[in-house]
Amino acid sequence: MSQTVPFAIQPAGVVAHRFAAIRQRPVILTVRDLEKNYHAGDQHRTVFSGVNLQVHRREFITVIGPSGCGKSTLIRIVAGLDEPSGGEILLENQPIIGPGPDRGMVFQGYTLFPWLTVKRNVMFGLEIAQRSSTAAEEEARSWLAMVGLEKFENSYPHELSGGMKQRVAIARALANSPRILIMDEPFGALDAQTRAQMQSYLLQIWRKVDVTILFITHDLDEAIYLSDRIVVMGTNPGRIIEIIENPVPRPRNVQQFFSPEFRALKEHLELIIHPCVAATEERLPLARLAHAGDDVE
Amino acid sequence: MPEVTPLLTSTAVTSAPSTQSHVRTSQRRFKDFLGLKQELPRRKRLWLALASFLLPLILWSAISYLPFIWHPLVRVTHPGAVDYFTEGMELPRADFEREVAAMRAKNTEPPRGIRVNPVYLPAPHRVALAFYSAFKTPPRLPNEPWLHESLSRSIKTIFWGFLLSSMIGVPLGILCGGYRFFARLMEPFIEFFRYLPAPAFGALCVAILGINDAPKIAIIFIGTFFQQVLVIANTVRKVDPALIEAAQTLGATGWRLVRRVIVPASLTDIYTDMRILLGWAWTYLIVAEVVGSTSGITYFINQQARYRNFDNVYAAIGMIGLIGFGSDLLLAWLGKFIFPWKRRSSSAQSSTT
Repeated sequence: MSQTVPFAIQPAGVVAHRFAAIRQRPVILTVRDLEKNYHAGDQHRTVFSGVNLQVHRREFITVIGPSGCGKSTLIRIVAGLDEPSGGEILLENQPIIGPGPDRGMVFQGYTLFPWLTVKRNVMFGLEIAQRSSTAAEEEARSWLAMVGLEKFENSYPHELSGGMKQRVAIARALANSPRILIMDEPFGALDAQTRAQMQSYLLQIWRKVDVTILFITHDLDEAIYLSDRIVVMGTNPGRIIEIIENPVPRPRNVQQFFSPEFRALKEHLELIIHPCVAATEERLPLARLAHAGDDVE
Repeated sequence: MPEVTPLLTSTAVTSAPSTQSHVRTSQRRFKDFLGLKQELPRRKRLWLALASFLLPLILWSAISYLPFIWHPLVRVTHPGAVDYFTEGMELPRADFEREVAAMRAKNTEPPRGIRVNPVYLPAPHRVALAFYSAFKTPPRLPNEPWLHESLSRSIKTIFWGFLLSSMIGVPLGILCGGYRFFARLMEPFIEFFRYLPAPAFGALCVAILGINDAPKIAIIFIGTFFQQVLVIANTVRKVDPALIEAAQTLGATGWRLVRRVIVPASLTDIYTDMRILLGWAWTYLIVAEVVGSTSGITYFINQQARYRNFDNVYAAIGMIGLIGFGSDLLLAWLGKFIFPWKRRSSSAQSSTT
């Protein structure tokens, strides 16, 4: 795959060493020949097929692609919320059967339990795992401190802003010490400033916690800013077009948005994504508009 | 003097825009009231709630106190020379006027009378008084109940009927809403049974349960139970699937998922359902109370109607309304304390969407 990547965005120097090190790490998630089809009556639709991916421990993977490429379906299958039609997914060499606490998930919508306080939300998974309540409470407090919301432990979700809710959702997912954190456009509903702030929070948390992240977004800047590798998916049929090793060095900061490797990578991604977007767009009946113009003349 | 001039001009300057802004605010106020799907401020809501009770009351008062609006009868105050008239008798206005004309023609004394409404439409003040005096109206027979006894019997009937129905109906509803298996197993029959009118079971209930309160409680049970299961099952099914998925990714499965997510997520809506269902239980009460031996508030209403004490009848009907409405308001108010996360959630929802 790396042959198709232009020379300018191939990792070099320190970054290349980093990727070499990552490849040495144990594999957390293996996706092999994954396929998903839908049958609705006689209609048979392939969401995606032939998806292969290996994710190493503590890697940060972003998945991008136009709507309809099946990226949400892919991570729903990883989360166990959907079943694949073919192929297999292994989490630390164990096949995935149904959802479980070893894969935390943060959704795009707000999914905090509105009847529980912030602290009880974070304790939810620990209580399900039948941890003693004092231990669970202590753990929840430390996770809330990690996302900077220890002062809000007794608030209800409706009292929090959108960004704060997602921080609690991250704390709630991480409190279960999952092997992998799956994030489905978690900042998609936030305004631009809050989103930038959340991205920086997420990178800080990820640095402190031993967790692998699988992150879906349609925001190219977000994908580049956060990830180690970027999985680019295309439509018709849904598939992985390219997996790119991100050449932007870590630690990341906002100035890098203007660095040559950042811009080269973004340009490269735009050029792959754009034809995919064009393919999904319906042709508008422009002939009619032209006709109206003739009349006016 | 020169100090005064700027003061005057300044008032002149400020007064002109203030009238303009006054016009603008009155326009805005009008828009505030009639904005589509727009919630009104609290004070306005209270005024409108008051008006919703006042408008029918004003209509009723107008019909009762303004003789020219309706008053189709004449009550004879002085029979005059009409031989079959007695003081206090009431007859249609046309008949009365014919007699007046006849007496005038014969040059005898014409009868006198005042225009009144029929006895079944008492004036508001008489009904208002009856709210108090109905409790003081002694029963005609020594073994008949007083009003407060009738009322408490009605409330007991409702209470037991609704409690029994809820004790079985709510868990069943949650089960049907939570598990497709139970929904498919039970809902078709319940759906069928719900169309069988509860009063139709009156005779059966009496045959099985005797003539005391048991068949009445059974009627209320039949009337609410089947609706309750279906309504609550639907409410439970409407739980946001994202919450369930979130809980699944946190490790919740099976019964734990139902108990820790599905039930609490639908609890506030179940509470609202229960308030509505309690209202239905009240409508079944009247049916239930004529099953077997008539009892409770229905008995009181029937007796008072028989004695033509229509003010007491209206008062008793009004009391049912007050108890029902009052208990609903009480439950709504209690709900704020039972579900602290719902206290501001309606406004929170509107701000996020």
